[in-house]
Amino acid sequence: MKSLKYLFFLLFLLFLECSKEPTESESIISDYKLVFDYLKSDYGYRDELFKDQSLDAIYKKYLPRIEKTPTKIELAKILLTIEHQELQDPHVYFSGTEKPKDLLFDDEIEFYVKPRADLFDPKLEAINIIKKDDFYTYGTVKTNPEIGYLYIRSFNRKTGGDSALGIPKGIDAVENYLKDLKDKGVKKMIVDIRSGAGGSSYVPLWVAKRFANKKAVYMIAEYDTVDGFKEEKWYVEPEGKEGFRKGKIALLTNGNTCSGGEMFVLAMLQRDNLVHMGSETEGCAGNIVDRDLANGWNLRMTNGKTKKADGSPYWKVGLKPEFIVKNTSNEGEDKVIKKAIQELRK
Amino acid sequence: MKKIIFLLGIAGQIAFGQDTIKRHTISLGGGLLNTSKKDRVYSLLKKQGELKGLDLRYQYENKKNIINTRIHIFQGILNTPTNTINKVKPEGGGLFIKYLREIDLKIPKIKIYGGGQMAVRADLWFPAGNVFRYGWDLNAGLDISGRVCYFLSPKLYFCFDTDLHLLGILWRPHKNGQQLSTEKLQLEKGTLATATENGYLSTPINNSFYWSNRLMVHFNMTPFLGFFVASQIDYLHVSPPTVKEGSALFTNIGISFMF
Repeated sequence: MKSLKYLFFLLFLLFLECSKEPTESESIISDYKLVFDYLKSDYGYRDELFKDQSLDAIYKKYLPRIEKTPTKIELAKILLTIEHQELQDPHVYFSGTEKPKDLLFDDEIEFYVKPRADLFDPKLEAINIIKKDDFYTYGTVKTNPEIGYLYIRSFNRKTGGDSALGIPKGIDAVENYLKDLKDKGVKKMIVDIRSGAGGSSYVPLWVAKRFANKKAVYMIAEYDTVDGFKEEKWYVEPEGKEGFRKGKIALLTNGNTCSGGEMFVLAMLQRDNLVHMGSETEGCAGNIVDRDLANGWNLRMTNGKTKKADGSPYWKVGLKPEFIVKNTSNEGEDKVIKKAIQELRK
Repeated sequence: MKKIIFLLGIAGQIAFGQDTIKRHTISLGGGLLNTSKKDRVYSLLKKQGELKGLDLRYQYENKKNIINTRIHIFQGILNTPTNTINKVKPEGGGLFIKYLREIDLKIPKIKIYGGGQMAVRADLWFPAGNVFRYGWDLNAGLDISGRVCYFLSPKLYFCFDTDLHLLGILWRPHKNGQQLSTEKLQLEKGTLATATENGYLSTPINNSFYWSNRLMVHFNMTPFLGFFVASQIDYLHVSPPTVKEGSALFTNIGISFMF
């Protein structure tokens, strides 16, 4: 009977051991490993080399550091290092109401985050603005009223779901603005996407279709499946009650142009009689998905790949304009718009 | 018209045998689903919490046969215990139409039934916040079912039901959730088309294990009104394209109208 009691006591202890909650240190190390579990299985570019090293090599590189100092701040510093200095993929970052950056001071964050020098919003002194709404600003060039201007500030931010119901309204607005410009005698256009417009893959295509003058492949997407990546071609073609399909277009981009904005650029580049100017886009290829960590942080990353119509990549390198023009400060005139006007006057 | 009704009556008699016990029961129950599930499409972390659930049942019973129709819905919030920010909103339920026939073993106070049911199950996970993430499992198919009832007295009885999925179709998202094609499909053909884009033949052997067990205590307060307490545990393990597994314990109380 006594031996039975000891046996039950041992079993009780064993059960206690099995059901023990992880300590904070264990949880932090576990979250570090979880980031790489997600990256190694779900990240669309997981097989690429980052500065000549694999994801596994990066994981092993920082593991001793987090094991030595398993604190939330140290994890924040390591993950920001991986985000900004190792992977350098603009589509891989920590998002949400709490993220690693929230634990650091501004001067610490600057150590990791080094923004490009050309990320200035358009300056519209040269434009006679007719209307500005949540998504677009449009008008005509003051010195050349036959040149219209359309700035895309934002696409419909949500993907799919009930936001799809709002898309026809957004596209109606574009069509109405294009009609208004044509009624005012506009023969050429500046289409400006030097903004963070993105968050959707289909809305940019809808807008581009209002400018398209032929059907063409504009993007090749690779979807991650359990059987490997599968390729699909995306097409742009003319669509819509109203459009701007004949006159010359100057398409403006800079380092703010990213993700859905780049998909818009890819679609627009299939149009005849178009010139691309400004500076190269950010290189945010692929579609994104979110994953959560146990500590409340949210990892956002690409879960598929996208390439240009000819199959070449734009991931991390961006789309390079035909004419490179950059604004170097917030002061003075907008050099890119000025160059666009010069080009369209020819 | 009279001839059609007469023929239907005859068909019913043939199907269910000559009987003198016909009983209709409508039950309504509500309670909490203590849920613990992990969907690899959505996250590597298990999601836990209590959802609110509702059950509406209609049962037709005669001497040997039972037809039971159940509509079940649930919703609420789940999250990883250590992560209070990234929450998931499951919404779903099921439609079940069950046929049982008594297996006459002549055991006093005990009735045993065997049969099956058509089952449609749905569990959709939405993000509670602005994140790009969805997950779901939808299944339509056939289960094998069993029931054992023990009649303690004319007023009080216990019933245990078990249902095991046998064959059907399973729909799941892409490997890691949102794809570029998902939004396009949703816009062009709607949410249902998106949810049913990836279908798989489902059996418990290759990819879909759904098993439900329910224990109910029923008390007849009057010949027409009853009260019940029930506890149902649902297990699931589905694998394509990646694993979703876990359980939900539905503890509910309700009332029955019998006529």
